[in-house]
Formats: sequence, C-alpha cells, structure tokens
Amino acid sequence: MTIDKEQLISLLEEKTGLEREKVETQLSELISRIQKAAKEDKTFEVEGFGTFSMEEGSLQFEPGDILETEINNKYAGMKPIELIGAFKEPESEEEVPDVDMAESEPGGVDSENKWAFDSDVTEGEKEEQETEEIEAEPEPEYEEPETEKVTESEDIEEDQQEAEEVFDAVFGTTGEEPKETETQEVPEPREPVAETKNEKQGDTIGTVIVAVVVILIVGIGGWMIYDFGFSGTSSTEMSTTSPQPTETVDPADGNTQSEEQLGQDEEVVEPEQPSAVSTEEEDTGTESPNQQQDRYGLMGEPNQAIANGYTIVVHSLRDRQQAEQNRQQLQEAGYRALISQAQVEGTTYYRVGIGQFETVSDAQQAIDDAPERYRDNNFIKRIQ
Amino acid sequence: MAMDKEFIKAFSEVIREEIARKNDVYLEGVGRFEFEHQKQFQKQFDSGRVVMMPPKDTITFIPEN
Repeated sequence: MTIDKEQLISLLEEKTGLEREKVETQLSELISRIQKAAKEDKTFEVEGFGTFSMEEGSLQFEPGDILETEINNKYAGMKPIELIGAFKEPESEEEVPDVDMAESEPGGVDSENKWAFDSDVTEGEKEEQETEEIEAEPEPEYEEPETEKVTESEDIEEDQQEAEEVFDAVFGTTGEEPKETETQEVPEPREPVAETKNEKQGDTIGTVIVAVVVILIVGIGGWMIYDFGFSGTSSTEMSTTSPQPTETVDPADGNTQSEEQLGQDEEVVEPEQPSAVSTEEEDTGTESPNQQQDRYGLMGEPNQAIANGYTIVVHSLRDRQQAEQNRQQLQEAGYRALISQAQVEGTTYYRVGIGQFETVSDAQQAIDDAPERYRDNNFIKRIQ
Repeated sequence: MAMDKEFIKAFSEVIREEIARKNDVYLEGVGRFEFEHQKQFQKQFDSGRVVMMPPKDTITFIPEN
C-alpha cells in the first residue's frame, strides 16, 4: 500500500493534533526546503529521520540511526555468523570484529530462524548460546596477548624444570625450592652440567677430584645464592613476579569459562552484577534521584506510564517463565526490568529488557552501566 | 516561515511507522520511501573467512525526477 499526500496529511493531522491547513502548509514548507537544498547542492537533515543530499545529480536519502533501528527492529541484535566449515585461511581475526563465533555447517544458516536472537529450540540451549555470544566476542582482543604470554610462562617453566633437573643431578635432592622465576638461577646450575661432562671425559683421578671440588664449590655457592635469593627476596620477588603469571592466566581462565563453562555462566557472571549495581546507585545518587525514578533510567522500578521510549533487550526467549525468572533476577539486582512480546516468523518471543530511555542514544550510553555479561550482547528496541 | 518542531517530529514518526508496516510513502516533489527486506547472504573476505550476514529490513528512497 502506498501512502499518498492526502493520507500523509491525514496521518500528520492525527499525530500532531494541528489543523489540516497548518499541516498542509508545514508539509509543503518542508518539501520546498528539501527541494531548495537539493537545488543548491546542499544536504538537508530532518532530525530523527535522516539526511537528504545530492549525489551525481539525483537526490539521495540516508536514514538516521533511530529510523534504521526502528525499521530493522525485527532483526535487531543479529550479527554476522562465521561459517567455520568454510574457513580457508584463519588469519586476520580483526577483519570482522563483531562476528559471533557460533559454530555452523558450511551451508549452515539456511533459514532466518537460526540467527542469534529469536532463534533457538529450547530455552536452555538459548541461554547457552546467548552466553556464548556474550563471552565469545571479546576473544579477538585477548587471543594474541594470551598466546604470547602463555609461551613466555612456558619458557620460564621449562627453564625452571631444567634448573631443577640439573640441581637434582648434582645434589640428588627432589628440589622443592626452585619455584622462583628468577632468571639468574638458570645459568648457574648449568655450569655443573659442563663440569659433569668433563668429569666423564677426564680419566685421571686428579681431574675427577678437581671436578668434584669445583662442582661442590659451584653447587654450594649456587645453593647459597639460591637460598639467599629465595629467603631474602622471596617476599618481594613473589610480589613482583607473581603478577605476570596471574595476568597470563586470567584471560585464559576467562576464555575457558566462556568456552567450557557455558552452562555455569549465570553463576560465574552474576557476582559482577551487585558491583555494577552499587556503582550505578552511587552515580544516580549524585543526580536528582526523584527525576531518575519517575522518568527514564536504567535502575529502579519500571515506570508503567512510559509507553514510548527504548529499552536494552538482554534476553529473548520462547519460554515465558524463563523470561520472567530472568526479569526478576535483573529487577532484584536493581535494574528496571521489563518483558515485551515479539512475533518472529509466527513464534512468540519474550524479550527481557533493562532500563527505559527516551532516545536510542540514551540507551546506548546506558549499556556501559549494564551488567558486564550483557554489554556486548544486547539490542535496543522500542518499548511496546 | 519557521518549521514547527512538533510537526517535524510527527513527520518522522509517521513515515517511520508506515515504513515499519511495509507501506510505501510518497512525498510529492521529493520521492518515494519504500520498505525493503534484504535477505541473509554469505560474504567472503580476502583472508578466506566466510561469514553469513544477517537479514535486514531497510528503508530505500527513490527520488522523483
């Protein structure tokens, strides 16, 4: 169906409550302004709608963010899915930063039903995929540094092992001490290795005795230095060296959680929510709390009076109970949580949203204050 | 003549709502706004990575001569 000028005027009349004549004059004024800007080769922006511009002699229109979001509401939040089966050269991870690492067959995503949101068969699975998306996205950031650091720490471990072996070979102990990552110790125990080789080669008793004496001196000296280093600097060394392993381990842990402990994700991530809540509460505390509560915002009780505006959708589920449960959890954490229904391909989805915002940009800003697990996996939609 | 802010807001909303309902909107002397559905498609990058781009609903503009 096409809305012609007459219908458009009627709709505008209804919307604005203005008289028909005034609507007509306003509309013709708008049209003449667009035409004038086009003739002068200028761009003309209609706030909240889009921009008209002249390109190669013809008028072009670029929709604004709000308009684009509104029209693409049905598919909002969907991101490119990597087809792992069709992967040829796994290079340059950063080319598609927003790609979900969802596994699929080569021709995998055949129907629009299989896309990230509004797509899964069971709620449990849905939950798992959602969390997978949440955790998978930061991967490209961590991957490279992680592998580099892991190899570094492995090298250190190898060096330690070598040192331990040499140490054991010389003293015949089990060597519990060498837990330090100090590199100075590594060359010292290596000297005895050279000496022990000489010992094997040497035939005379004298050389054997000299070698043994040298080994003992070096060994005892090394042990003393070692012991000094261990007892004298252990407290400070541990504090300076320990951050490296913990730094390298943490991202790895984060990734393994995201990949292997998807089912437990709720438990893992949720402790972060209270901290987010407390900071948010502090923030809102500095602002005028009455306004925050009564009007728009991320925290507090949902304001039923707000019919227009936007919310940040963090769950989209087929199971109403599950959606209600998630809503309650978010509400208990202090967020304005609301559920809205959406029909996608004949299926009803219950979308759990947090916050009520007047504009899309307000909602986008508020994403920074949302629980961490939702920050990269959400979409903004109009409150129904 | 100054443009009424409320009118501009209402104009944006009316066109947005009609396009979302998959109706075309004809703006005399300017052009026609149409609803367009882009199907999902496979995209291959130079590196060999293949991704499936999601479907998308968009607004297209066809200028009047």
